[in-house]
Amino acid sequence: MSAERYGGAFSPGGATNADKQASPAAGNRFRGRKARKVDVRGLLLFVLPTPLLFAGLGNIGAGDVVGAAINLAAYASLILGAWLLREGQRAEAAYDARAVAKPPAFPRKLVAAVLAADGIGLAAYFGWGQDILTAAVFSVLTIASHIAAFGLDPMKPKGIDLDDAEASRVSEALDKAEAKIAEIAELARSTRDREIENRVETMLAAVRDMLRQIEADPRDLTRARRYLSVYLVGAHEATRKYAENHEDLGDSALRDDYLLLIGDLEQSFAEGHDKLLQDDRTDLEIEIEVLRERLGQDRT
Amino acid sequence: MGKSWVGWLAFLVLATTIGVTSCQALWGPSGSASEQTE
Repeated sequence: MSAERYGGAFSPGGATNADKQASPAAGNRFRGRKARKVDVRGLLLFVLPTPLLFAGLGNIGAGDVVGAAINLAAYASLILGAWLLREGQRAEAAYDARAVAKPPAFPRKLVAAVLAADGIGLAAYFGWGQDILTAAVFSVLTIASHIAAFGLDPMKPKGIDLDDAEASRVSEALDKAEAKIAEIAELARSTRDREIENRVETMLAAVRDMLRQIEADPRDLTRARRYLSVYLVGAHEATRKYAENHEDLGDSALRDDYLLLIGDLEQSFAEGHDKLLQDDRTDLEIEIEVLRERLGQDRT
Repeated sequence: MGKSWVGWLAFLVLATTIGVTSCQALWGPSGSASEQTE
């Protein structure tokens, strides 16, 4: 038994039967995307230093400039640390999601731990009034517990050998394609048109399928170059122009043309992905054939 | 599984350190940061 989504031809995203047959957009637009994890512990780090903010504001009220500067500096250091930790966790999630990845260039989680230790040291020595040794112990405790709780940034490249220029080129091409995908999704969101958002997301899911395929077999990059350098860039340009001009032009024919283009692009990417799979299969078949022939020759 | 316990324990230490230090800076014995600097 299968369920069909309720909605008519005039519902948002609604399509006639003819449209449904013609369009391959029935795919799941969340395919190939991972849900973003929300780390409650990371969010708590934004809340916990709040008393320091009030201490700083209280100092300002009391006309204590030095005290205010120190308390606010400690607060800023802790908040900056919490923000960097969140960025570090995002970078790590992106690193984990890919089969081929370089480590993040900037060690955000490590710097976050240092900033938290710095804030606590300042607050313990100046704000709380502890001696320098106790403040230093608090700082060390902070840095150690921060690293134990949240870990360090990924340090090693994954799935690639950095000496290998070819693998590095693949990783760079994938990074560029991912950045383009993010920009296209953002531009589509800016149109505030649910159907366009959905259709663009479905197309991008097809692009992501292709990227995963290239990750699995980096030799596919040469075959997929046309898709990434021509079609993806074209999709980006078209989406940018549509997002910038659709309100001024208010032309429904233009919207239909744009949707048709997105549908065509999605189909091209899906076909490209199938072709890569087929090519990999052919490569494997040839390798098997060659090996079998050699085995046959060795036996005779 | 054991590793996640260590993470949570470490976070408890971290949260307590930040919370206690911040509260002490607000209501603590020295009262204001400038008393220490004076």
